[in-house]
Amino acid sequence: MSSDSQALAPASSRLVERIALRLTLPAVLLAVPILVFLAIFFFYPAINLLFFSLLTQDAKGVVGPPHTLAHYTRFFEVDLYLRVFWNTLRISLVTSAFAIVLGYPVAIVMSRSGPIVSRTIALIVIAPLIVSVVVRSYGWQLILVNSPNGLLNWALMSIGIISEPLAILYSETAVVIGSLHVFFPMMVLPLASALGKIDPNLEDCARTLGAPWWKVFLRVTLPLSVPGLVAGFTLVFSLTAGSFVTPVILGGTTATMLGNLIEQQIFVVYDWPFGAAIAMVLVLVVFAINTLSMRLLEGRRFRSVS
Amino acid sequence: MNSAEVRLQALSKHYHRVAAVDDVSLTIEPGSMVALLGPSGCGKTTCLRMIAGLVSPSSGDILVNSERITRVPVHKRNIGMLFQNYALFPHMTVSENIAFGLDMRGIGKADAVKRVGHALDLVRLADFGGRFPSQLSGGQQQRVALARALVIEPAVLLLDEPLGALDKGLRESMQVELRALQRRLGVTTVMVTHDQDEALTMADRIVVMRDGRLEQVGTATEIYQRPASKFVATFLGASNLFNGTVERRNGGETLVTTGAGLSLSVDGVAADARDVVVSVRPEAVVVNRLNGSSPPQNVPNTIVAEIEQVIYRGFISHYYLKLQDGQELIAYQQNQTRDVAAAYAQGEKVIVRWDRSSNHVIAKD
Ligand SMILES: Nc1ncnc2c1ncn2[C@@H]1O[C@H](COP(=O)(O)OP(=O)(O)O)[C@@H](O)[C@H]1O
Ligand SMILES: [Mg+2]
Repeated sequence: MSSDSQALAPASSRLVERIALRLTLPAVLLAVPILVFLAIFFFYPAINLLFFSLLTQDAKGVVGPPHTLAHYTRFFEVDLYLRVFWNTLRISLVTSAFAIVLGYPVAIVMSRSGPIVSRTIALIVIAPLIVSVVVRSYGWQLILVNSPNGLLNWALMSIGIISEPLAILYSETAVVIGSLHVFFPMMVLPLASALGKIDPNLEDCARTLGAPWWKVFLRVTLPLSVPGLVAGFTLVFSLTAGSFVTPVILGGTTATMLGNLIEQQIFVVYDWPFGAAIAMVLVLVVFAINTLSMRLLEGRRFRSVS
Repeated sequence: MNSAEVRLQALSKHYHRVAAVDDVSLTIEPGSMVALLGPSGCGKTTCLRMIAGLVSPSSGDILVNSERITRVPVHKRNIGMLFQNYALFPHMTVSENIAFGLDMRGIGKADAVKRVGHALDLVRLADFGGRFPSQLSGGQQQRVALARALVIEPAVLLLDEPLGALDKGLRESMQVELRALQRRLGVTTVMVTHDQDEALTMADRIVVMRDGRLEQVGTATEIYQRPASKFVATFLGASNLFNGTVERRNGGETLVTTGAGLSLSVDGVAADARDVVVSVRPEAVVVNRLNGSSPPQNVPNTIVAEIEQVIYRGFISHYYLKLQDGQELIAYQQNQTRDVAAAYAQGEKVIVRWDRSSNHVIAKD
């Protein structure tokens, strides 16, 4: 019996190896088209961008050597640019935070309901993605307009909550609202998926052990949903930090973000190396957030140990 | 551990007009172990979850030590529950899992550490406190779940198919271990199972359920030897059931005849009964060769049958027999000599008999 199983173990692992080997080649081949595509249209331009950010532009607008870090030092020394940098971080963080707070209940309802309710909610959550960002942002502009006849102001004033119109449009708040609307599904979907994977018996068990509902949430549901939370946060943060249309339409000149700064440098000022440097800063911020999230998840790897 | 009495009073649960549990009344003695036994879907889990408070009853009451807890929320009931898949918290170590209930009760760190250690000893996992559930075998996970449920010193312990996910050998040793632990702690326990052996091995009293209702309540011997219905007779072990009519009464003894010309002498038939069902357990039936002699006439509890099949099962053999009118009969017999079972030919006529004390009249369907 025991000698049988000992003989079986290496045989079965060899079988696994052989299957894995057979899968490796076609699997790599399947990935080739997208890898080629990414190489040509993403990695090559990205590396180009990096080089551009290290070059000098002369008075005639010709970009070339000498290599320099001047653009980066300039970015972090000029108040205006630093302010835009912090704007971007703040708007992205606040948007992600609101997405978590507003998305969590939606994700819970989605993961706990029957298939019909859950699919309906998913559809409603995803629906905004069908409409272009530009159209949606103009829609928000109509709602948030600072004059008394903007939809929001009109509504709040007619129920008597405010007497003077609010100045929400062309502020960070407006950008956060617009971004939240656009990127909400990126929070809800991974969260709902993570919550759906939690065994409902775990929560029932916590209750029998004496946990009131809020302790069940804090000690069981929330920690077990962290993978979804991290995925959602990373997506919303990255997408918001890189946004361009929403801050232009809803943020005006007060809530400028890095994306707008890059656009100005390249299309208005024609300073390509500086634009490239700002783009690199944006890439690094997003990259740092992604890496941190991965680290956070890796600390929890025990869950997959079998 | 102080033992609690649990009482269910006309407990019912309806899902969309369908009764999952229907008018169940039951008293569970302090410190005893009761098994809810029945086929899948008969309402065992629903019953258990109502006691835990995870399902709210449509009607009826639950009392613990005569105190009504029907409307008490789950987390205030002080009930330890073992879930079928163990439901260990995957993000907590074994010790943290066990400490969870103590933490919820606001028990101080030092005291909690001591009690967790004690609970780990109890389930023989003293060195496993720092592991995560995913690093344990099924049997170990089960014991952690048990320690976690017991460490809070629950008034009642609820076990939902506690051993269902373990393989056979482990399941049998855990049955004995769990039972011994329960006896030692004296905690009132309700267990759910669809496995008759598990119920017979572990429970002081067995509650047989069918379609949400109680079918019979009793000790293992009562249920096995005196099944109250055809359902119980066939669900717990096998039974030979005979439909007969009362022929003659002679003091306490009644003579019942069946279609196959079999007469049964039975006790305890109601005075006004005419048609009765008699059950005879297969192990009571003795099979013998005819040896050329003519079959005996008019001897009660004796009849000629034909061998359909004999299945050799080691120390016993199962005899599948057929009576003259086509009724099937099963007999289990211990194999006395090496070749008894093989000696019967298919189609051979044999004589079967049993003791009259093996005849049991079934009261209802
Ligand atoms: N949440 C529920 N909603 C609807 N029907 C249910 C629910 N829970 C159980 N039932 C039904 O109640 C009956 C009893 O279920 P259950 O108590 O789980 O049976 P058992 O544990 O004996 O297998 C089954 O027919 C089941 O389909
Ligand atoms: Mg069940």
